[in-house]
Amino acid sequence: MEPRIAARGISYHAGDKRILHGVDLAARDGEFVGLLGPNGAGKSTLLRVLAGLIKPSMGTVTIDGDDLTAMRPIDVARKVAYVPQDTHVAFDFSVWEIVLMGRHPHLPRFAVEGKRDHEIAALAMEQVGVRHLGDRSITSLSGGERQMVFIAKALAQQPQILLLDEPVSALDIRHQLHVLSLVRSYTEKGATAIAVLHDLNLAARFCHRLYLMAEGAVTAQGPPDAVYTEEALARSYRVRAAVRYDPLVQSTTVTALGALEERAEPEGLQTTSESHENTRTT
Amino acid sequence: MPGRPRSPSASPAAPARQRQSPANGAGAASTMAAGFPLTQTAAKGLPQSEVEPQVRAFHRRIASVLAILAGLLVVAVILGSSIGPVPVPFDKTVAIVLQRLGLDTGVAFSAREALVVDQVRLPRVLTAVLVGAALGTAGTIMQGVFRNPLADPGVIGVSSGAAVGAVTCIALGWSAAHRWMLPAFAFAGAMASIALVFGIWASGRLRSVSTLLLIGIGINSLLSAVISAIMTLAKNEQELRGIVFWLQGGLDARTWEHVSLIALPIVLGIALALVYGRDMNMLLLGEEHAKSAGVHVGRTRLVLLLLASLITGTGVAVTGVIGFVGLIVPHLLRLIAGPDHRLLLPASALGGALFLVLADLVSRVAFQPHNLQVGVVTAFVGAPLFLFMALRSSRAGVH
Repeated sequence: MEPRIAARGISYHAGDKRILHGVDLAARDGEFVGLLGPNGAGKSTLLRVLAGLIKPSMGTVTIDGDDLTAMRPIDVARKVAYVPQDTHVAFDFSVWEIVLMGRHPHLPRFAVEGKRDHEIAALAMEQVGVRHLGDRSITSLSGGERQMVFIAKALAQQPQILLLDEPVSALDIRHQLHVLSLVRSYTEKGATAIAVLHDLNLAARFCHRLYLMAEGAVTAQGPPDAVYTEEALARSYRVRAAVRYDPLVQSTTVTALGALEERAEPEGLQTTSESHENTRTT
Repeated sequence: MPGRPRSPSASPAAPARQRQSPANGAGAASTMAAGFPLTQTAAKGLPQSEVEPQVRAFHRRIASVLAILAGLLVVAVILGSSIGPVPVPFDKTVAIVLQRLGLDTGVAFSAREALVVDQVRLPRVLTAVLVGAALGTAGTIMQGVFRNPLADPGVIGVSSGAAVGAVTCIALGWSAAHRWMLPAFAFAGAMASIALVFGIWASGRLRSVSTLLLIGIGINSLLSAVISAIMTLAKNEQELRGIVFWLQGGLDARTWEHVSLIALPIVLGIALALVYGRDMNMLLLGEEHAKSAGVHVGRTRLVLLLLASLITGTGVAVTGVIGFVGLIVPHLLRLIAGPDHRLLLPASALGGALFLVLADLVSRVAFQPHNLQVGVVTAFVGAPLFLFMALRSSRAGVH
């Protein structure tokens, strides 16, 4: 099957600084893909390239085979919804108004949102669990609530591709589970989702496939149990970590044991590898 | 004035909070049986009665706010045309205005009353309507594009450019040569400063709106230094007085010719700006939000800034610099009507017109027989109002 969205040979420079170099990524329909990696690895930049918000210095992004840079913004918006990390809003919109803005790419210029748009927005709010906030001002919400409102806005956009930059970073654990399972169910209905995530365990539980990044490049990719190895985590995050299978949630679990010194690789890896063997055999 | 009717969904019949069972990824996903439909749009399980009134509420809000403002504006225009050194009763004023529109009401009025209303006050009031509408709309656009509630129509140098043009014209003694000399110079100054600001912006490496704002501030202070320099060089008291009067903004002795000169660009400019109401809402959320919602951010911004500058430059060219209208009106209406620019843009056009007509009325009657310059009155009324709103909105968490 052709990938719904694909990036080939993406490099991005901000001034003299190289943020991304030679990144390949592809996601098909029905896939929930997680982007992982330490701070500054280039995850958010990659997501913004995929959303067409910034042009890569090199490489191309294609959506359904079309070059993203050649598409009109409105056509991109009909297929791709993007939820940024920063959801701060300075103006006093109500939650309803914000979610309804997700309908923008589907409305003719002079149209106002009709009954159908309100229904779609209402359903999106219902699903994310922010329906009760509808009449509140966005400026009165907490960071976590705001994040969920913007996810509802993205769902109201009815995209084929959902791009989320740390969608659960401000949420409590209950809402983290809720939002990630919502995104997962969305992909199981045929959509494609790509999310920058920081929680390795939640990523393993909910994503079909992961990309592990470090210093602007992809260091490993594949299903969670293949990506999470002590070696890969040590290379990417510079931590000593234990990787186990957690039967309770039926997924791979990572426990960070400590930071690695710059030159301490051999010993650190040795011990964690052993613990890995142990947990796997039990 | 209605408050801001929010949608009715805050009714006690709030939706039951969704239960979420802790499970593994696949299991948790399967509990979300009613997934979001990708293509079909029927909102299952939502009673239509919940959504229907909301659509109507939005239309009602737009219609009621605009109708009330338009009604108040008509009343203000009649008041402004009636009150003055030669008082004309309201019914006669209405009759004279209607007669101009070709309607005979049967109310008798003298030729002198007709002359005062039709030839002196009405053009003055209509100039105030047009310029107020331009400043209100331009203020809303600037505050929206810069996402900064402190922005005003002159923020990127249009007004100071116009001022330099006008002051130069007066100082050279050319303003007496022809009555269109002064507005022509002012308009040319406004356009030249826009060209300068955008030229510097385009040549820079970083083309963000905050850079543009900084360039505007820089050019504004440079141009005010130029104005001060020209004023120091003024040859006599009368010339200086002319300059000061222009800088304070005034509506004295404006004629039908002034009205017809500015009507087309201002009405057209405002009408075009209204097209971008929804795009402006997106821009308010931020550049990335707007872009990912399908807004052509760069182009939309440029068009809006040019439209705002054009209508401001046109207005300022015939009245001189009138401050505070473009700052205060968007603020006030945002508190009343909310931040949706599909409503806020037309509302601030009407509101700006209303504010300036009333300020002009005050300027004429407050210290009779002396006339205050209207720009002085807008600042007198505007500054305390602004302080009040600054305190109010910081409490409401709007920055």
